[in-house]
Amino acid sequence: MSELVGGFDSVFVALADPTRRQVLDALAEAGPASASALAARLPVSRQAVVKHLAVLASAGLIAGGRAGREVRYQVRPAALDASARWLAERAAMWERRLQALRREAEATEDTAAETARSTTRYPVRPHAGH
Amino acid sequence: METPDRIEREVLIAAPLVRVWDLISQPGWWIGDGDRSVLTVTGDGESYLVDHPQYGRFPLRLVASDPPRSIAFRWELGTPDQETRAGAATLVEFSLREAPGGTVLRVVESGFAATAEGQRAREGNVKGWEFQLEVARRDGEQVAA
Repeated sequence: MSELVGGFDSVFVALADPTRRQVLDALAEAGPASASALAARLPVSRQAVVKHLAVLASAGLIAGGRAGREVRYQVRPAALDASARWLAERAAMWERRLQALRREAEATEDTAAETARSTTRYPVRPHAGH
Repeated sequence: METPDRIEREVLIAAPLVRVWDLISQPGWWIGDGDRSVLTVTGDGESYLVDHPQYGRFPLRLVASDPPRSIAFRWELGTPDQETRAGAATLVEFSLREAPGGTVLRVVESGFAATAEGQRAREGNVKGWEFQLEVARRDGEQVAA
């Protein structure tokens, strides 16, 4: 599994849920906040926020700390950054594959064009006239 | 925040669409370092096994094909003999469109979260079965005793 999702499986699962992403966004905007404070900013119940916070925390995306009588959560960017880097590397891999395919398609295309062109000195290009 | 569960990339290729289609419709063309000649591909038109001398074997499943415009594969992790990993896969979709200067090839790889969740569910299943079997064993032994 770790090969496929780079060990960031819990991060991807946590971020797959749109409400959970909203909770994380709200937390990033608000700074350290309690579940109640977050629920006030979001169209979801406090219980729902608490559940989402637990998933985000177990993925290492946020951390909770006690502040007086309440638990305040805050974003921990490291897990998100690391998974973003992994995804970027995988995207770069696709970039290389696409470029390799482009070269291959264009190489054979050049050969074909070369053959077609062998009787004419210059390739014919469309142009707008004078 | 954008959904992190997909990768999208495009490239403009100075070649006709059908030429690019010929290349991208070959299962597993993207596996390896851009040298497709080292790949051995076997398959029945739906399930394929792509063998790379260095990187190993990759099971693929053709999930959609609309020649010469788009094709999609489930790209599985692991090989059929590694049963615990069967089912962990991402979806890889290729599509083509004509553009000034040639053909635009677009790739979308998605399903990282689904894969992770699926893996977790399967692990859960395995544990579930272990528990059930343990219960059955205990019950069986109690009857025998």
